[in-house]
Amino acid sequence: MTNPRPWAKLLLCLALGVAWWALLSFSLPLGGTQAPPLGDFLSPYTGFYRNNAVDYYDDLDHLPGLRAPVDVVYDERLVPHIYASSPGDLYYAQGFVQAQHRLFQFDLTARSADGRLSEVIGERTLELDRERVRIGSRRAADVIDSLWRADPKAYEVVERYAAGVNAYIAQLEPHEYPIEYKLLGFAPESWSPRKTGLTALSMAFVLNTHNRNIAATITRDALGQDAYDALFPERFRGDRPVLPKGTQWLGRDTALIRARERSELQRAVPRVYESALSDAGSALPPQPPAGVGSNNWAVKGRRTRSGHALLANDPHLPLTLPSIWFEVELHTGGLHVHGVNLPGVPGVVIGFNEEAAWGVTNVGVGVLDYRALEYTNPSETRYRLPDGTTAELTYRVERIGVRGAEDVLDTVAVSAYGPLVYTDADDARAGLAMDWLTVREPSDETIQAFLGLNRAASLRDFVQASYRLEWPAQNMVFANRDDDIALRVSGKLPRRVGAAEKFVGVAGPRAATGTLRPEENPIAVNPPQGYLASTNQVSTDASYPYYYYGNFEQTRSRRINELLGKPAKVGLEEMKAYQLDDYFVTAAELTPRLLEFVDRAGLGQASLGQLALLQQWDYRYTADAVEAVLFERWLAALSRLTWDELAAAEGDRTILRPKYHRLSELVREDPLSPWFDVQATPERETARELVTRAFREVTDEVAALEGSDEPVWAAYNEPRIEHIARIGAFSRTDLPVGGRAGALNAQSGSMGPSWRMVVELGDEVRAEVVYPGGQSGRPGHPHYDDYVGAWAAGEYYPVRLRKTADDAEALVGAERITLNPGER
Amino acid sequence: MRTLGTATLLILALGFVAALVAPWWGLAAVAFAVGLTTRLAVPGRIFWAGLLGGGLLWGLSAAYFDLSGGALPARIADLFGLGSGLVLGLTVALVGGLTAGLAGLIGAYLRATIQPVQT
Repeated sequence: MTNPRPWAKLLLCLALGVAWWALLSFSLPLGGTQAPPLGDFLSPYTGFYRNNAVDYYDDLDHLPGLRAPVDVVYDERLVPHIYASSPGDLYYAQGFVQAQHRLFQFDLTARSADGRLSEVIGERTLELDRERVRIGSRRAADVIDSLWRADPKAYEVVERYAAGVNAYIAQLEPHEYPIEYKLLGFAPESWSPRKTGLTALSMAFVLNTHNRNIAATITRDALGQDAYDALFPERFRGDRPVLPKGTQWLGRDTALIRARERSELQRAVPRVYESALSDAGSALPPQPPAGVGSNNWAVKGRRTRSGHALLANDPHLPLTLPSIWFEVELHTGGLHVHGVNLPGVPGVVIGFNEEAAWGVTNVGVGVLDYRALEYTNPSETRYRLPDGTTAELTYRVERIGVRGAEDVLDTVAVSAYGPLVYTDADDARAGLAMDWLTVREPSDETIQAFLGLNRAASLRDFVQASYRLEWPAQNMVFANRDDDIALRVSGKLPRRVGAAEKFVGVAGPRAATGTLRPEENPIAVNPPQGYLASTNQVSTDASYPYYYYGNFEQTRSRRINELLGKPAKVGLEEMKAYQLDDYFVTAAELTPRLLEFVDRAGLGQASLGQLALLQQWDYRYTADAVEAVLFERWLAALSRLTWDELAAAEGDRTILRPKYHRLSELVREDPLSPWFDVQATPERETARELVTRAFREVTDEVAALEGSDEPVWAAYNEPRIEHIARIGAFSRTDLPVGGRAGALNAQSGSMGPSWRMVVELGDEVRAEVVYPGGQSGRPGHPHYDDYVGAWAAGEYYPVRLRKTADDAEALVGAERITLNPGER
Repeated sequence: MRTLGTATLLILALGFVAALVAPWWGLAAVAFAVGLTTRLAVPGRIFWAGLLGGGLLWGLSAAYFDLSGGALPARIADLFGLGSGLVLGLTVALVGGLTAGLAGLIGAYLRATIQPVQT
C-alpha cells in the first residue's frame, strides 16, 4: 500500500513546524511584560536551568592583566577574603570576584544612571532615562572619568577594578549569562572606570536628590509665612544634633563669621522670593521616601566594659535582592580591611581595618534646589545672572536608545544654574532650573575618600580622608584602637544665604556664595560625653555660624542619645540591641496624652480593651504589636482631622503636612490650638474632641485584627526585599520583622537596615555583621538570600580579620581558589 | 529497517551532542535528520520517537540541573505561574518532545514524498 498524499501531511507538518519555531523564537507578552524567547530559555542547555549551578570555585588561569597569583578564600557565607601582592592585583581580583556574583547588578546600576535602560528594556523605561539624561548624569560621569585619568594613582584603582570585571565578562559563554540577561534578552557589555563613576552617582540619586523647596513654596504660598513657620519648624525643642552641645567650631570666631554672613546675605538675597510658583503645575516632585534613615555611633573606652572603643553603623536604604552591599576582606601590603562595598565601586565603603573602624549616615542637607529664571526677552531664551548681566540658554542634545524603536533625540535647555529638566506643564517643576550640586560640580574624590578610610588608623588619617568626600554628604563616624572617636559632617555643604532659600526663588544667590570650606564643616572629636551618634538628624545646634537646611529627623537621635547616655557600661551586645531597638519616641510621648484625652463615655468593651492594651504598651514596634497598629491608625486619623485647613487650602496642588512629631508637640503643649478646630463644624474643637473622634473612627478596624495569627504590625508595615529588576519571584516578602521609620530599627516597607555592623576596637579588632540578602546575585542559589533569616531574627555573624590566606582557610567551610595571570 | 526504538535512542543521543554546539533548535535538526533517514511503514509514527527521545533528553537534563543545583527552577515556575519546579520540568520535557516530534514528522513526510514506500 502506498502512503496516501504524503506531501499534504508534509505541508501540514511544515506549517505546524514553522508556527512552533516562531512560538519558541520570538519574545511573547507575559503578564504586562515580555517573556524571553522560549526555545533558548526553556532548553536545559542554554536556558535558565544552567543558572541553577551552585559551584564555580575552580582555580582560574589565564587572567590577562593580572601580574601575580591572587588567593581568594571563600568562607561558609561566601564572603571572599582576597590576598594580593599589589594594590593593582587586589582591585583586579575584587572586580573579577564581584562580577562573578553580581554582574547583572553592575550593569543595571550603571545603565540606570547613564540613561541607557531603554536600550535593553524598551519604551517602558524611556521616561526614567530621559530624566537621568536631562539632569546631566552622563556629563557628570564624563567629568569624573576625565578627572581620574588626570590622576594616575587614582586611575589605577578604578582601571584595575574594571579590568578584573572585564576579565570575567570575557570568559563568559552565553549559557553562563546571569538569569536576568536571559529573561530580558540582552548580553553583558564591558565595564569601565566611567561606569564606576555612574555607580557612585546612582548612590547620589538615592541619597541626595530630595527636594522640598517646591512643595515648601506652594505650601507657604497657600498658608502664609507665619503658618508655614509654625507648622514646619527647622528645629524642635529637645533636638539632639549630631554634634553635642558645646562643640567648638575649630576655634573660629563665631561672631565674626556671623557678621560676615549677615552682610553677604544682605547683598545676595534676591528681590523676588514671592510666588515664583504662582502658575506652577499641580504635580509635585516626589517627596523623600519615609524611612531612609541610618544610624551610626562610636563609644569611648571609658564607657565600655572592655575599655575599648566601640563603633556601630546601620545604613537604611532600599532593601533589594541582590543587596546593595557585597561583603569582602581585602589584603595587600599596607592595606587590610573588611567590610562592604557597592558592586561597581572598588574598595570598602563601610568597614574596619586592623586599627580602626568607620561608618556613614546620610546628611539630610538640601543640595538640590529648583530656581526660577528671570527672563529678559519675550521668547524666554535670555535670563538674568546674579551680577545683573544676562545670558542665553544653551541646548544639549542627547540620544537615548530604545529597544524595538527608533532612538530618541532629546533636547534640554541649560542655564548657568542648571538644566530645565521638566517641561510638562502639569509638573510643578516645569521651566525651573534644577540646581543640583552633585552634577553641577562633579568630583572624583568620593571614591578617594573611602579608599583613604580603608587605610585610616589615626584621627589625622580619618580627617584627611573625610575632607575628600564631596558628595553625597555623609556623617562619618570613626573610632580606633587608641580610643579616639570622631564624627564629621562630611561633604560639600552649600553656603546658604538664609532661610529664604528654602523656597523657590529667582536664580541667583547660590552662585555668589558657593560651598563651605572643608574646615568649616562641623566635626567633633573625643567629646566629654564619651560618645558620638548620628541618625540623619540636624547637624548642629543654633550656635553653628552657617545656615543650612535639609530634611532632618527628630526621633531616632533622641532615642540613641537616651540609650548611649545611660551610665551603665556597654559592650557589643548593647550595640546590637540598640540597632534592633523598635521603640518609637513619638508613640512614647503621645500615647499617655491620647489616653488622657480620649472620652470613654459610651465606648464598648472591645474599645475599652484596646485602650487598656495601649496603657500597658512599651512603645515597641514588634512584628505582632497590635498596639502599634492601633496607635498608627489613631495618629493617622488624628492628623487628617487636625489638618482639615490644609486639605481645604490645597486646591488642585498637594501641600505638605506637618510631621507627626509636630502634631505630637501640638497635642501635648497646645491642645487648645486653633489648628484643632474643624472648620466644617460650628463648635470649636480642641485636641480632646479630635483625639476622641479619631479613636472612634479606627477602633472597629483594629478590633478586627485582634486575635489574628499573622504578625499584625508587619502586615501593616509591609517589610519586603525586592529584586533589583522588580521580578516578584526573585523577591522576599515573608518577613515577620518589626521596626518603624523613626525607630532606630527603621524598617518601613522596602526601606530598612541594609547592613548592620558593630565593631570593638580591642587588641584584635572584632566585629559582628549582617545584611538582608546574600553574597550571590543568582536567584535560587543557596547564598542568594541566606542572611535574610538571620537578619530578620536580629542575629549577626562574628568577623575577625585574617592576616593570611592560610588563616582564612582555617575558617569553617572555607574553600580556596587561586587567580592566575596569563593570556587566554 | 530501523525501528522506532532505534530512532528514539538516536534522537536522544544525537540531540545531546547537538546541544553542546547548537542552540535549542539543534534538537529539531537532529530529529528531522532521523526522520528523514528512518524507513517506517507508517511515517507518522516517527512522532512518538521524537516525543519520547526529545522529551526524555530535555526532561532528564532538566532533572539533572534541578537536582544538582539550587532552587532557581521553583522560582522560575513561580514567575511563569506553573506552580512547582516539577510542573516546570514536565513542561520543558513536553516542549523538547514536541520540538523533536514535529521535526521528525517533517523529515519522515519529506522522505515519504520523495521516495514512497512500497510494502
